[in-house]
Amino acid sequence: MKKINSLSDYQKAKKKRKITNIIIQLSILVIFFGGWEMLANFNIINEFLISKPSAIYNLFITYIASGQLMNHIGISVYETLLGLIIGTVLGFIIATILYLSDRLAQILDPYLVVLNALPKTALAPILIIWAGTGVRGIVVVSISLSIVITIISCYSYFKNIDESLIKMMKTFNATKLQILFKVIYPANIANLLSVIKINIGLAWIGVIVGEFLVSRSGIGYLVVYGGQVFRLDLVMMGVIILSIIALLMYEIVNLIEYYFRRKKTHKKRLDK
Amino acid sequence: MQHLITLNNVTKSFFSDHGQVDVLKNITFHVNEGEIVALIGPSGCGKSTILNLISSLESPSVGQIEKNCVLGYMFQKDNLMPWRNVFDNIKIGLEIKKSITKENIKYLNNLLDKYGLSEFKDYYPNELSGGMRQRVALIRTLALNPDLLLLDEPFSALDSQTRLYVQNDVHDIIHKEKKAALIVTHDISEAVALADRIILLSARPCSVKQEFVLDFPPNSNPLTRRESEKFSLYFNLVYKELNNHEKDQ
Repeated sequence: MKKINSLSDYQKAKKKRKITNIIIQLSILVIFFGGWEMLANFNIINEFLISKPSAIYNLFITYIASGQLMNHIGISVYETLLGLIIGTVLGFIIATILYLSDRLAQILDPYLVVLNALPKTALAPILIIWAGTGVRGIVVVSISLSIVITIISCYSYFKNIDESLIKMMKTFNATKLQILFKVIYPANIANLLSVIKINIGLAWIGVIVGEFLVSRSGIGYLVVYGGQVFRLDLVMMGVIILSIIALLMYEIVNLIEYYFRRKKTHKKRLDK
Repeated sequence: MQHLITLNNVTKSFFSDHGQVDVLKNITFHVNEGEIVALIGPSGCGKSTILNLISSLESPSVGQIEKNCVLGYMFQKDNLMPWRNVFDNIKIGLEIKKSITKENIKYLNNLLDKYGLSEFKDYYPNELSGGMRQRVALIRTLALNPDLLLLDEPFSALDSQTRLYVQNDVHDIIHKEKKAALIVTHDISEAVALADRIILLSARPCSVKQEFVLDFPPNSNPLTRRESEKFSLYFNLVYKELNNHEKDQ
């Protein structure tokens, strides 16, 4: 390692590290897929059971060309977004109600604990029977996964707020609603974003489980169908597409987070 | 002269699973217009409870509190919201009262100008020094034009050097704006440097033990007071009384 003696040395070292990190990250990806392809071509691993990247890629191209893939992705993303938004918003509203009424929070506490501990996927078959087998049932399963954890974590974030800030607001005779909108919510933006990040994963679990059970389209359907007819390239393609979309959604929330963090610094200073 | 606030035989007890705690017992005192009064007593004696009662955050178990003024409350911690810049922070009181008028905004800008903060209007609290943050907190309190400021150990979170000049700033601001103030503190030198009158409180249950009227020349500020001979005189007087009471316990 070169010794850092000046600001330009520091900047160079920082840039260099950033570039090497990206190179290493990319090589892991290349080695993984390249190795997979080679092992399959040399018949060291069974192509029938594990498939290989080139086969997955060819399948991807045919599915894109026929327009089927976009249809499947569109449906799954639509269901996930619905589940994510409804689950998060409803959970957030219920957490607010619990925050405003200590009594209600005390009464409902054991039920929330039970609901949280219960594996919600076990409820999926019942929920689908109740809500219908189409998009509706799948979205309900997805909501059931994210809503409880949203209620519990939002409520505890609301409760953890610095009491002296609330006291300060009370000295101005602020109402409960004013305290909510001017202190509790803005103080918890970062926490809310981290709840959304967790919910992205949960909403996807709900959608995939739902599609496993009933659906005729969507990525979960592709995966389960591929498994049933022993088309492992189809299963692998579904999984890879799933990870890419989940990553994209996660990064969008990261961008929102960056925006809010930036907001806490005076603009002129940032421009320097 | 009319009293801004009067406490008449105020008693306050708290109840919890651990039983009853008597915090205040028969407290009687008043604050006049334009006067700075310091409440001094051993830590944990219930000084902050008195301010909470005066500002109606809690209600007395026994006794009455008469108020003839608008109150402003300033805390030990500045309680600035990190997601709001300086101007939005001092505007919070107006927002809650829903009285954001051109006139009031102009008044805020005047205050910022007068106390050297107008350049920092757009800065966020994490970009300011401790002394500046405390001044912003004071201006936030002044924004609603209160007659009486309640100061709850407002300087104890500052380092000792900053404390000296923020004390001076705050004293100047209170005088220039012709406000009255009730300061809670456990720092004797702070009480002697700032107050016109010191009320000595006993340990729990807290009651008024003694009152000192400080006779410094008018227009003296905390720094000139600290240089005067009377300063150490008053300091020793209060210190001895405080000590006596602690021995009584």
